Amino acid sequence: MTTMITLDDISKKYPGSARPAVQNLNLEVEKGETLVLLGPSGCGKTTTLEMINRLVTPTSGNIFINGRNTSTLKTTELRREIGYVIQDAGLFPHRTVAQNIATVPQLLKWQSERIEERVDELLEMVHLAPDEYRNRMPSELSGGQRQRVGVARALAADPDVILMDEPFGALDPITRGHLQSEFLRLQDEIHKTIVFVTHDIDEALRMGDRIAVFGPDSTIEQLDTPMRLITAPASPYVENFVGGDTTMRVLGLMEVRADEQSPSSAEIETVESGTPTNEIRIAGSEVRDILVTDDRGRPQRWVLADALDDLSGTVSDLPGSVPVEIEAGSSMREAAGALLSMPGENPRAVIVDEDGRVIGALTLADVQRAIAESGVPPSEQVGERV
Amino acid sequence: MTSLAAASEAGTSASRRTRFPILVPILVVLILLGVAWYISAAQLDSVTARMLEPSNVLRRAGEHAWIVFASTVLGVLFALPMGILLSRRWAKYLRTPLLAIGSAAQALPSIGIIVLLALLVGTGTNTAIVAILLFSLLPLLRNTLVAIVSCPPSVTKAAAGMGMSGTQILMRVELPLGVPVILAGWRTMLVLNVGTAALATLIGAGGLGSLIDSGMQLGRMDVVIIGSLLTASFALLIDWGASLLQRALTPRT
Repeated sequence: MTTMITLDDISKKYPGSARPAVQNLNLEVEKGETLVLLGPSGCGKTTTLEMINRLVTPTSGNIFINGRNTSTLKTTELRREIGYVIQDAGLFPHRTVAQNIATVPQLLKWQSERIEERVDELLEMVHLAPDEYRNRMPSELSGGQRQRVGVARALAADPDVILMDEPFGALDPITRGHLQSEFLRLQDEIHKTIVFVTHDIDEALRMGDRIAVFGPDSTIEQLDTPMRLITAPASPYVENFVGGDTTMRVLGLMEVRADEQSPSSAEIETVESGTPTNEIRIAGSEVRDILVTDDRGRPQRWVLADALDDLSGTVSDLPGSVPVEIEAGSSMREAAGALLSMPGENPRAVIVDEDGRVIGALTLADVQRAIAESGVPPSEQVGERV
Repeated sequence: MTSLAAASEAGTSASRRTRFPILVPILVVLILLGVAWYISAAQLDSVTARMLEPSNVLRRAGEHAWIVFASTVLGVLFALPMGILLSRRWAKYLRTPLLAIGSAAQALPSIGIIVLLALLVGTGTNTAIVAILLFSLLPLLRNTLVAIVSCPPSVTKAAAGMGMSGTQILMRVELPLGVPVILAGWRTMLVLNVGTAALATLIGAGGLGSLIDSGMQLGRMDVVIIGSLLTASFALLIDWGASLLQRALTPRT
């Protein structure tokens, strides 16, 4: 990993205020990572972000991007190399969607055909049909669509670094969730170096590769991965800020996988529909519940071990129940929710891949084991509050 | 969704294009026809006839138009850059005192300014133009300033954050967004100029006001009325033209 952005002993003191807004801050952002600056309002996280593109000039200290000291560059040129997304998008109301997205390419004097191509490409990227949205005015868009245009505009000149200041903060929770997952998927393709400011702990846990928690005195209390932040908060302040609900948050960070994380996967026995029942009895020495699949391996029904006594027909003739499916890669939190809402003593869900084929199984015991191995302190597991 | 959007689009473009204001030009044409009919048909004595001679009326109208035109052009050339300068961050502390002076100046009666200035620098068309312009500067100056400083901060911040220079932000964002407010100030200026130009005759600068003035002095009521009607028509016509320009220049948002 190489370092993309270095903040070297940065301070900012506004004239007339007693306390510095940011004090002796040191921070390194790796190439391709998303670093979240998290903290309450007034903690200096936005000031820190704005010092990176020099909307705010540091009182002391240096900032390096890609090894270049930003104070030696022309500010306008520096900013054209950095994507910038702010809350409620800040689109130009008198310019069309396409003109808004074209802002930086125009400043960089690209050829107009190249700009047009790039605009369409970006609109596709943020899931807005170019033909429909290109010539709309910002006032003709919903809040979520405006923010998508804001993201597209920041990506226009393909900058290495993107600064995002509470980009989804003004959206309703459902739209925010959609945009977060879309942005995560986008980031998987484009691998930008992102500095992301938020005061929302759940957003931070979701978006960040690493999270810097700002304390009230404008210093970083802890800089860590989301998982470490929850399971090993460095101070009571961080613990308090991250809040309770530790177990569920840990589960929210874990992905469902059909490997040793869910041992039930090894025990699952699948049989293609139409297989004669007596063949199963010979094949398996021990009688277990079986999962009947179609010819492409997609789950159809659970058949309980007891029902396998009837050896006359095929598995398709036996009584069974419809399996609950969970796609690999979805969060353990969702999976646990699904398991808990299932009837029966020992609920179990089928893990499928993106084509819907069975690749494993998940039970509540697997979920508990995963929590235990994540390192959440045991007292938290039963939800005790001290 | 798409049909809704299409409907709302159609709605805005309809409200944009219909309601073309035709009332004012019709009214003005009727007034002018009435005046022309009166001049040609009525039994006028020689004094009245000389004053209402078409060549004389046209000359007065021409003087009037020139005074309005010159004072407006000079006013825009001064007030617009001044408003822009005052909107800059370093001029923050100049704003309040300058606007206060401007408001006080506007509170003075225009007739006072015109006569005072004539006493100071002498009579004539140029003095009238300057006096009229001093009186009407404030609306445009203030609206230009307000238009720029009230640009949404998120928009200017985004513009700066993307690497626009101060001038680029001004030319590409602040001024285009402020066009409706700036044009409203300009229109106020224009209407004030047309009205005050009727007083130019007091310091020997002519204009349609001189019809009213000499009509009064010679006791010819019909000349006074015709002078007033022509001044009013002129003002209506100018305001109508300005409203059209305002419509055409206001950006779609």
